Amino acid sequence: MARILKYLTVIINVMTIVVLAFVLWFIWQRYTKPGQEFSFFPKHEKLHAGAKLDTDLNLLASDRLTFFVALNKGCHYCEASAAFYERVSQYNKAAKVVALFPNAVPDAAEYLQHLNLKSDATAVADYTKMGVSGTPTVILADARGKILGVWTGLLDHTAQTEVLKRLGATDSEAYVPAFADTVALASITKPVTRESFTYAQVKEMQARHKPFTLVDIRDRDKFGNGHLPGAINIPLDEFEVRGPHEVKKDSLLIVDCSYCSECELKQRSSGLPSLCTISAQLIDETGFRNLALVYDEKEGGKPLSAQNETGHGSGQ
Amino acid sequence: MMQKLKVLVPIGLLLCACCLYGDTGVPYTSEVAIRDMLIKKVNPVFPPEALASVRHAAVIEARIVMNVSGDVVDATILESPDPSLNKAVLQALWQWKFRPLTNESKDFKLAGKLTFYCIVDGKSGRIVNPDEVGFVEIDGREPAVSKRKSR
Repeated sequence: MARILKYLTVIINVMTIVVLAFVLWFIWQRYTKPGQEFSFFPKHEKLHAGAKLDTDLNLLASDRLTFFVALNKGCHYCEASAAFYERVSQYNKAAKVVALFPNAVPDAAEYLQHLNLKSDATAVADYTKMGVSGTPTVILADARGKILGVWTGLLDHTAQTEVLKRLGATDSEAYVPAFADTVALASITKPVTRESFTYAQVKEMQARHKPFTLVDIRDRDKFGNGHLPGAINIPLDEFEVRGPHEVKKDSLLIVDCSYCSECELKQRSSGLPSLCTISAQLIDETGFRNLALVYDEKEGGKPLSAQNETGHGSGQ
Repeated sequence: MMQKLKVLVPIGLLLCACCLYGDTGVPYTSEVAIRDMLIKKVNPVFPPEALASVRHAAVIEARIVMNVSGDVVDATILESPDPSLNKAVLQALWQWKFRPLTNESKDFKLAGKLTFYCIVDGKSGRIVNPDEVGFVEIDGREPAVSKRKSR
């Protein structure tokens, strides 16, 4: 019995060491990657400096760096980056510029010209496989496919300077003035729909019994915490199915997506579309052409409190 | 005490490692996609006690999680006007069967939302799928604009 216990103790000790070693190895692997922020539950990101580019495309230049620009047609941030792409195109001797698209684009050359991007090659890539989470994403890789840098979204002047320096630009050549950010952002700050109303305008329209339907597309929790009087809650992911059954297509549809210009800019510069952008696109695709957004610049896009709600249902 | 610690510490560390490595989020797909995968549908039966809560029409929103075999492994109600309707919808949903996911690993799960409309007509009611109904005037919402204008 004593012998069995002794063996058991040895096994447990070995197990402890193995598990401890695994945990240490895992933490080492996870948190020592360059640019990786500490998190107890990190995202499994494929694209980071030091990793190998996961693509079947044989587009890497053998004699120089390769600069991949992951684009998507209709992406606002790609268009807002045109000035940056124009500068990048001047360094095609230092790096091969490859424009990537998630699907075949018949007029790709025209689109790239519109973006001021002179690319050496154009290809269709599987963004999911590559780990591209949003467009535009620029990836700098060496001849062996090792990622040297990844930048996602609308790059600010410091990030642009960094990229240009990595492409071999001198300090003066790589200088990007801070106002370039404002210029780029100015082109995308407006709501994506044809029309938009302030909260005050919506309230006035309700008071005048103007015909419209007010839909709050935020999730149930956020709607429960406060919403515009008369708004009906159809979370965005349910709109495709519920919208046609609950909202009349011929009426003006005003969508509350907690729009605020600052939040919009932050979200857009991260490279991922904002809730308002997705809403406008999805609702438009569902067949609701008469669409507008509601926003309150003064309130920073915060919805009105549910306690202020006076005329429930007056929106429809 | 030491013996217990020697057992508990590796188990704790192992759990910790699993938490760090495991991805707990269940992938989510749209209702249109999940309904396309449906191979067996059982319609929920309208419970008479729900007549007290629903005047004309109400929406019931459910969230289901299916496994690779296409079986429902979790079902919850996100929005409903009456608890009796929750029970009826959940009872039906547990019997739903989806097309198996062939290209995924054994542990893969897929989540999605499902919408139902509860329509009351006089003293009887029914729970229907969205494709079985046209425009629905949900209780608690103002009538359509044109009617409002005429008032």
